[in-house]
Amino acid sequence: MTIFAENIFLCIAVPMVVSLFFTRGDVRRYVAAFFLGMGVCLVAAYVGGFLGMVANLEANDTSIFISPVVEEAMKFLTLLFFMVLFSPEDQVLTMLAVSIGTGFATFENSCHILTTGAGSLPYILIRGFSVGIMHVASMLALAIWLIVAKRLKAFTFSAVIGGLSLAMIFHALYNLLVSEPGITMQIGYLMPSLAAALLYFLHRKLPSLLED
Amino acid sequence: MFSGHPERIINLVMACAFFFVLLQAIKLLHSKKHFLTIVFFVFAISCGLLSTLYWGVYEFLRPETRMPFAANELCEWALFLLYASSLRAVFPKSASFEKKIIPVALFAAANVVLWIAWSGEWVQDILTGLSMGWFLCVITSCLCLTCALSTAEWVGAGTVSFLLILGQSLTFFTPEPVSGALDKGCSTLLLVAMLWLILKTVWTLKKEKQVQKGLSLSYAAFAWGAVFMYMSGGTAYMIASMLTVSCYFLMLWAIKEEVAEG
Repeated sequence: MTIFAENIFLCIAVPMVVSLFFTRGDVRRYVAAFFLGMGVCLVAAYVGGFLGMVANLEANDTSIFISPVVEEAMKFLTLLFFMVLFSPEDQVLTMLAVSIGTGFATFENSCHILTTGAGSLPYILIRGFSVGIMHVASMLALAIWLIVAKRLKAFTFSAVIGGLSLAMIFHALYNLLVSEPGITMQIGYLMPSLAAALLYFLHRKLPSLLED
Repeated sequence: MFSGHPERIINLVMACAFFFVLLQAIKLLHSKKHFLTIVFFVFAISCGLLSTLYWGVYEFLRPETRMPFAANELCEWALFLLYASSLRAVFPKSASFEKKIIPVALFAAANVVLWIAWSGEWVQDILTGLSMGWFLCVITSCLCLTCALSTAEWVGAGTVSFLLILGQSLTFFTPEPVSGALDKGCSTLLLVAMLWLILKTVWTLKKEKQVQKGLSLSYAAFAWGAVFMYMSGGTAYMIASMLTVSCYFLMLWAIKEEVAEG
């Protein structure tokens, strides 16, 4: 089934943009970053699709090999843009990262559900707990890494590439695992939730680790 | 699951080794000494672990199928850069220029030419070469700073590197029995140099108790292992992989000693 992703984007984005005029502070930042996350998802789909076509890859291969690299790079660039331009506090940076990831996941899931249908509740739940959480977890991990690098005065090219490559390989591994039915698919579906749980503890422990 | 697929066993061993080293390195974070070095090391090992898992899963799901685009290659580039950063955190003066860096950079460039000739993947090979070249330059600088190698050993290392590049280049222009013999000769040379580096690292850390020297040697052993792996196929590749795995433990050992020394 053909969907028109730009139309879906407009439909979801318009009320969000309007809501920006009536909100302030963190709520406004969250909504704006959420909106940006959706936009990044739309652009990443175009770029990924284009690169897949240039490399002569099928849709499944594009999602395994190209999408993780393009999607994570674009999400990361958005966060890096915020960080370099506005130098936000650690807490704000984390919130922005989570919000971009959530916006990205929401838009991707909306388009996916429109394509495949939303009849099966178990599948919808699995989708929400896997892809949905995966984008949030990868962005949270990137935010934590950026905070650590900034605090340790090690915000170097190596640090940036290191963090980005970890997010990419995590995403690529997930896409590869769920590409075939069987035990690998089940492991793949569990991976984002496990990563999110680990990151939750790391995020709580981070201030004590970075003391001194 | 593993029968007839030795590469799967190697992947599993590598993943287990990465996981163990990662856990041990995370424990070291609590000591708060050399925090930056350990943070970079933990990230590098995480890159290695996820990259190995990616390869393992790919081999399992799509055996004997060539990857159209290896998403884990970026992890390998990051791994070299992060290892270089972790070493530079111990030796901040490693940014200073040493004359020995010139032949090392040429060696890295020659490796890139060989990889391109073997695989035809221009972009990936050049980017891998750049990150690995930087890593080799940082190691060279650290080896000079710590006086880890004597003049004779530097000359020996240069000769081996030159012979390797010459031998591998000649395999393109010689017929089958000769090129096979040249390839085996190069693998033997790589293996001997690798074993020598590992033994020298162990000797330096255990007998001489010179931690910083041992640290730079352990990173050099790992870098040589990477050169060995990228230059080999079949059985030689498997031996190189196993020896490189042992280097992770050597690096961890050296970092532990450095942390203990404060």
